[in-house]
Amino acid sequence: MVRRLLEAIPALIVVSVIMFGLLALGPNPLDTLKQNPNITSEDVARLTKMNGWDKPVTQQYTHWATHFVKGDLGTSTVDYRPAWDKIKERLPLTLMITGMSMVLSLAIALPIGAYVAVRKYSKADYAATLTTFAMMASPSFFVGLLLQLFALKLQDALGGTLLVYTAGAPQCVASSSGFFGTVFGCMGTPVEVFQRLALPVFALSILQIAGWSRYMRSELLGVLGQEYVRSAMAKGLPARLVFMRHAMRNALLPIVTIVALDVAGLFGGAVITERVFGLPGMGNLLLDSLGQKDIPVVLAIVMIGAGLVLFMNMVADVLYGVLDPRVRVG
Amino acid sequence: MTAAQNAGHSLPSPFGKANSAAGSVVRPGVLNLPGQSSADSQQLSAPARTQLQQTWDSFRAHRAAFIGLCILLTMIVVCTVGPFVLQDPDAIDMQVLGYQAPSASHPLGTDAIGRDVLSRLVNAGRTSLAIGFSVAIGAAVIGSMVGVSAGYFGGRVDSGLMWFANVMMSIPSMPLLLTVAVIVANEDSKVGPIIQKIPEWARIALVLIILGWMGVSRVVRSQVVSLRNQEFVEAALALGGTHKRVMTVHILPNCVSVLAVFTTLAVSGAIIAESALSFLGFGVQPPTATWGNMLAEGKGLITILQYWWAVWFPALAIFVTVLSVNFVGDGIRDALDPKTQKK
Amino acid sequence: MGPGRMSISRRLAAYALALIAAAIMVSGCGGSADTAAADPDAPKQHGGLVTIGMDQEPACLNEKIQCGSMAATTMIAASLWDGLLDIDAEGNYAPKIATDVPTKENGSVKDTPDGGMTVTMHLKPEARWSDGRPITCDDVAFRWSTTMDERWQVVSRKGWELIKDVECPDAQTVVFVWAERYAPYLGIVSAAPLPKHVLDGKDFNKYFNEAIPISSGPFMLKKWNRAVDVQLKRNPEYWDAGKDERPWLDTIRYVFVADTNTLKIQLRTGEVDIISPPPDSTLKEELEGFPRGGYQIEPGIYWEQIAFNNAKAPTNDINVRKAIAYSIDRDQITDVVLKGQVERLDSTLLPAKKEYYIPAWKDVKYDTKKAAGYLEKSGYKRNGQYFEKGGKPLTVQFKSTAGNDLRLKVAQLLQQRLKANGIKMDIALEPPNVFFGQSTPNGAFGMALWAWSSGIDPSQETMFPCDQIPSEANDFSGQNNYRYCNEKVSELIKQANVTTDQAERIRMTHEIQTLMAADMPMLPLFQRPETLAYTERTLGMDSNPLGGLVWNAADWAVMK
Repeated sequence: MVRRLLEAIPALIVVSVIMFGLLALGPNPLDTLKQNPNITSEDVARLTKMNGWDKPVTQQYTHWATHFVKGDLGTSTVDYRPAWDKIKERLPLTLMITGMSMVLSLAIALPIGAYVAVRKYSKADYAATLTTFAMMASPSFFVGLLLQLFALKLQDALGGTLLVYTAGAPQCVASSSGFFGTVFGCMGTPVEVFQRLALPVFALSILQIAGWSRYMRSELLGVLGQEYVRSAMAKGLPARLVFMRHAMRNALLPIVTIVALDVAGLFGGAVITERVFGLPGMGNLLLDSLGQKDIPVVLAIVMIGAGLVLFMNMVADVLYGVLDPRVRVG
Repeated sequence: MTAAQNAGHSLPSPFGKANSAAGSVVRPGVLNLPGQSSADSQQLSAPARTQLQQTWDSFRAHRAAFIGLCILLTMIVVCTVGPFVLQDPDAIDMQVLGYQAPSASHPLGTDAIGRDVLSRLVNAGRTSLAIGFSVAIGAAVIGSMVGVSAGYFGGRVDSGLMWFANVMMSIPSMPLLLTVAVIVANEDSKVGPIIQKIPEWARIALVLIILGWMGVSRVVRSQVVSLRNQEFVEAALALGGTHKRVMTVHILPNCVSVLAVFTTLAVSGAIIAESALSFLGFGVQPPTATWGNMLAEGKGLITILQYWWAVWFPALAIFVTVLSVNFVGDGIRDALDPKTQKK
Repeated sequence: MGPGRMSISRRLAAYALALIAAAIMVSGCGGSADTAAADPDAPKQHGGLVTIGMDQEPACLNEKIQCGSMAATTMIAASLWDGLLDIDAEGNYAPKIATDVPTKENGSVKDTPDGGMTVTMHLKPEARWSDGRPITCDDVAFRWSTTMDERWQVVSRKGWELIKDVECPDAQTVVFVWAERYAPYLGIVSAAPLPKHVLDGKDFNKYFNEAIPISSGPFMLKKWNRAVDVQLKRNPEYWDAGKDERPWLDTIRYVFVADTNTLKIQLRTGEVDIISPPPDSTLKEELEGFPRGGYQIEPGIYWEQIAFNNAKAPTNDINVRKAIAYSIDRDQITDVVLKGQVERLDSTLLPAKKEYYIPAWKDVKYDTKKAAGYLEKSGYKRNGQYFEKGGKPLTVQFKSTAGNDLRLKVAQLLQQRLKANGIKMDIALEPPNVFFGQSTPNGAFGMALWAWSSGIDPSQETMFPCDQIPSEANDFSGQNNYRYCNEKVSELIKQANVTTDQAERIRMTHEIQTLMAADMPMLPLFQRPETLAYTERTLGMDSNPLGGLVWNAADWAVMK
């Protein structure tokens, strides 16, 4: 595990170099700042010094990197708050919706995939194929809008009672400070959490449900065609036992990897979902920061996102080892 | 290399979320197929046409794929020819000047300021399809170059290139996409003067290519690795073939099937990704129409319900195109995989 | 038609609509608990919460310093701080903490022999901070000294720097001593006092940024949950509570949802109570379709206009400018892009300025013959589609901001109309920072479309005088991007700004508008409509673009 953690470090360095290089090609934050009539030349000077913008790109990078290692993710050019302060208010919510989406997707995709794999070329299989292909062909923001529309029509049908909220906007009544303030201080009771997050989480899950059920189907088809499953059946072992002990277990192995790899995509999808459903997560922060060309915050968000993805890959490795005794994690 | 990365060869995921799901139809089993079915050196001399003929026959047997292909081809023809036949997509009907339901003069109605939806839809289709296909081809070219080099030379080149591809894939795609989109869209960027010379749709395509080659490189690599040690490659090398020649003449053609599947799926991925960018305001800017920005323009409740023609036609265009492309991809895969053929 | 009249008719319409909606609800779904909404005249009750949906979050809570210059901060701060003067429902100054509006007529404004002036105001003795301490002249003087303190990153010192001293003869009397005569003085003396006993010795750049422990208005800050909401609570010690014991509400919540489309849906479902969505051609229709709630649309303080570059060919030719102006159908523009939610604007001042305003541009209407006549006067000849001179078609470069749907629509309409009249218009849309940061100050445009915002004062001293053309000399601070220079107009604008005689100022302002309409340096288009939409449970909503959305928050209430 430690070795894998160490392996992630060069990857993070490369990510940071790429992002830094890209952003260096982009709009000069100094020019952007100077165009802002509300920022004085002293502010510009202070921020320049703080971020090392007066130095060449390579030095800027070392400046940024040394601070990053020390846990300083930079300072926003919009409100001068530390980037981490802005991110930590929003990270828990993003983790929550992506996590919930992952669980929901697996809970729906795996049974469906397994069901249609066993009934290959049945009507159910065709229906599932068509549905998953349709899900993949729908732009997610539009699906989000339609879901909101659905909530609204449902409200009208129920005579004004709002069953699920059209936007996930939390409502902080209790004190909501601390890292998990937004999630636990503002989302309310479990019922309210459901009302607020049902639509966003479902919208975010659609592509995963479609993709993972396809994976599950073809993985299981592959396994069921294998020699050892056939021989196990031939030996007269109960089909159910063979299916659960051999086929499912082996089919699930690659799913673990795929789920981990899709985390990057899930974070991407969260950007759109958070926008459509007004959720104050990292995705919305990213969009706001990009709009305001708040480079330090953008960089910090991408680094944290990449770190999370790498971490998920490691978790997948460990899980892989647990599920498959042949692989031992060093 | 981690287990996840090892197993990762099964996941061409050019646009993260948008296409990872679609990528699922490319299975490891499929990738190994040509290696299994053509392990003998007959592959060298086998007349290509027969194989192609066989593939075409089995593709046609996949009904959904065949219908998808027909729709797709119609779409391409209409969107290529249409702009020359139809009226100017930016022209405002001064008699209408607002939403108007489909009628004889405007078969698909008019948009918020009285522009012909049909004409805009067809012109948008040209842009969206251009983005889709150039991304697919661009990503396939770069991806196969990287993949072939990695798989063929192996060793450090392989691990280096694949590691880089993995790192690129670990960056959440949407933030990266948006960041690059902001850079290429801004004239005050340092690369602004160069970027400005490129048409806007091509900028978006470029961004999607930069972020879309990793998946295909992994797929191609694993394909090449399985071919690399085949007898016919060794034979060709023994007969005095250079690496370059062996790669282009013997290895690359054997990757065509894999690339074909990937390329089709990348088209749909790019079309969906463009619409997402448009929704977030980072796509092709109006008045140039794309399906994505037409959809994003009409995202209001009232347009969806009341002026439905301004929203649902672009939505339908995206849906039908992407669905067709995915079925075509599925069909190609099935056609190349005898195991999945129905008897 | 003035906004006062318009708002009344619209309010009536909204009222009727709410009634009809309520009636439908009652008949449609009798069992619902919401049917109590049928009577909007129901007596107000104390307590309750309203949620205001906003598409941006403040960067900090102190609207007087730079990080608070966003519209979101201004709105939140509006119900925390009462000013000496207030802006009433008709858009006029009205006494708040002060007893009267100071004018020359009532003797409160006096010219001094040294070329300056004094403004004397009296504070109401009952005015109190939320901690119970009286609001005194010291607090007013403290506002001035804080604004002028170089250490603080104050948004603007304009007008304040002309004040020599703020004298306090007694706790309830304030005398502003001005070094120069300054006609827009009401904008300065109306400002809210700052609590000296709380702020003295504190870092004004930071102290009110995250939390504000005190208020002089009907509400006080309860909590700011970053990224989620800002909550205000009732100020129990509100000095202007009156017999109704205002404010009625216990809590106002500002929630931040970036997507305005989502905000509209949330209003429709009742998840938020009040929104102020950006203008859109279908907005009115959409709000009318909402079954539970009301809305008010009024011409706002932002007005869109076509700027001509008066220093660059071909628009440096007055005939070309006039030809373009007569090729633009302004009524059609408001009709198409805003579906008649507002009417065309005929001046650089808003009709709300009443006595100052004259519709100087009212005769500029779409007229193909007139347009052609002007062009022929300048030697242009129509050759096929376009007018030509020297073999080149008459081409104007049009610029505006990208990403603004309203402006894009206007641009496309303009292009079509100009084309029909033989003028070629090329559209270039730029990111706002490029457009406002480079193109307009540097004069890199032929025609441009942007909006000005108008305050309550009719001063236009930074927009049209010759010495306000952005240049090295004024450090590019001037706003005369038109590069318009008429010495007579410049002089009149300057004079109008330093006279304390209102009648004289009105006369000069009228003359300025007439002269400018004749020069055609620009063409006013329309005021962007300001929309206030709310759920039926919210009572007391009254749109007031000049006063801001929450100007009467103390009178808001909710039905239980």
